[in-house]
Amino acid sequence: MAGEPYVYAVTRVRIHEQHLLKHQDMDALSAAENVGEALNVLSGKGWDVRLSPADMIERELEKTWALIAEAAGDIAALYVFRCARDFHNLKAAVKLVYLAEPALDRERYFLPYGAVPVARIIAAAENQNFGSLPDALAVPGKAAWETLKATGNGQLCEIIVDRAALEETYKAGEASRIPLLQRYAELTVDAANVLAAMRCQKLGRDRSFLERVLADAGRLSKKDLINAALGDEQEIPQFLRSTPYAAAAAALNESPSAFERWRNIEFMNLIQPQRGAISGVEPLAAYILARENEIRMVRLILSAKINQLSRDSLQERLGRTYV
Amino acid sequence: MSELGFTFAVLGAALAAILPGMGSAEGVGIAGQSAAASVSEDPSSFAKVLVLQLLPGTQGIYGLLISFVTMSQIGLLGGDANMSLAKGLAYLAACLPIAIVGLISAKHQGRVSVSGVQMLAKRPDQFGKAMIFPAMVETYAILALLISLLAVNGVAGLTTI
Repeated sequence: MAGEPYVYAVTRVRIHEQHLLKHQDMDALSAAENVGEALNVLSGKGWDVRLSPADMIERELEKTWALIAEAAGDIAALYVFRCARDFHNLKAAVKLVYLAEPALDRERYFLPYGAVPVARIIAAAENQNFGSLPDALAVPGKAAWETLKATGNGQLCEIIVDRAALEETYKAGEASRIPLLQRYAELTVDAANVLAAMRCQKLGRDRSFLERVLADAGRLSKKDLINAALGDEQEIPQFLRSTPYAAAAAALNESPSAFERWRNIEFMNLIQPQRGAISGVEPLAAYILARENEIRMVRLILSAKINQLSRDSLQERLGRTYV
Repeated sequence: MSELGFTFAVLGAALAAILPGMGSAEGVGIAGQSAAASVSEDPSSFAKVLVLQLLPGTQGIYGLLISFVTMSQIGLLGGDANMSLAKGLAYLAACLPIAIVGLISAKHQGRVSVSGVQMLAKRPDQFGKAMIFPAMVETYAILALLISLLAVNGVAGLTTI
C-alpha cells in the first residue's frame, strides 16, 4: 500500500471512466431539440432519467462519492473536496434550525461523505453548541448563527460560511502536499474571490463588505483585488493581467460565465496527466473533478433546454470534458 | 579448504531465492489489487487479468531455480561441501545477477501489469497488447537468469580456485 497506494481504487475508477460523457455526447445533448430528447441521450448513458432532473443530478453526484468511498476505503486524503460538503451542511443546519424546519424534510438538504457526520453538525446547530465541532466549522458556525439570529439575513450567514469554506479548502490543499490538490485549492479559491469581487463591483458594495466576502487565502492579493473591485469594471481584468491568471483576464472581460468556463477548462487541463497514472490519490481526485464537471455541464444543458436558451448562449458556458 | 567459502556460496543461494521472491511478492501483490478491482466490476475478466497478475511471479521462480542449482553444486543437498574462499565468493557473484535483476524487474513488471489491467478495463479486446508490455520487462529477468545459470555451472567446473 505504501509503495503504490490506491491501486485497487484507481483501477475501479478507470473502469467507471468508460461511462463518462465524452465530447460527442455533450454535443448530442446540446443539439437535442428539447429536454425529452436530452434525457433520452442521458438514458442511453445509464443516467436514471425516471427521476426529476434535480434528483437525477443529485443521484449522479452521490454515485461518484459512493464509488470512491467504497473503492478507496480511507478517503481522508480527499479532505480538500470533502470539507466543502461539511460547510454546506453547516450552512444548511444553521438555516434549518433558525427556520425551525420539520425534522422529516431535513435529509435532502444535506450532503453525505463530508469529513464530519451530518448528525453531529445538526446537533451542534440545534443546541447552539458549535464548540463540539472541529475549529474550522465551530468559529464560522457560531458567527453564522449569531448573525442570522440578530439580523435574520440568510445572505450574511452564507457569506460567513462560504468564506470559511474557501479558507479551509485552501488550507487543506496546502496541507495535502499533493501538487494537484494544492493547485485545485488555489484555483478554486482565487476564482471564487474574483467572481465575488466582480459581483460586489456590479452591486456597488463598499470596502468593508468586500473585506467580509473575500477569503484570506489563495495566490491573489486580497488588498489589490479589493482596490480593483472598487474601481471601474476594467480594473479587475487589468489586475488579473499582472497575476498568474493573466490568461483569465480576457474571459473575465467577456462575462462571468466565460470566466467560470475558463476555470473549468483549467480544472480539466490540471487533471489530464492523471489519465495515465496507475495509483495514488490524484487519479481519484481527477475522477471526482471530471464527474463534477460532467454533472455541471449536464445541469447547464438541461436548464438551457427547459428555459429554451439558444445553443450559442449554452456554448459560452460549457467547458470541455475529461475524456 | 574454507568454511567461509561455503558460507558465501550459501549466502549467494539464499539471496537468489530471497530477493527475486520479495520482488515477485510485491509485483504480484500490486497487480493482484488491480486485478481484483477489475473482477469486482466485470467478473468475466478474471482469466485475462489473472495472467497479467502472474507475470511478475516468474522472477521468484527463476531465483528459486538458481538457488536450487547452487545448493546442489556446492553440496548443500548432499555431497562434499568443502570449497575455497575464492570459489565461495565466485558462487555468490554468480547468484547476484538474478538476485538483483529479479528484485528490480519484478517490481517494475508489477507496475506494468497494473497498467495492463487498467488498459484492459478500457479496451477488453486488447488483451494481447496488454500482455506484451509486461512481457518486455521479463526479457531482462531472463537474461539475468541465463547469466546466473551459466556462471553457477561455470564456477562448479573450475578446478584452479
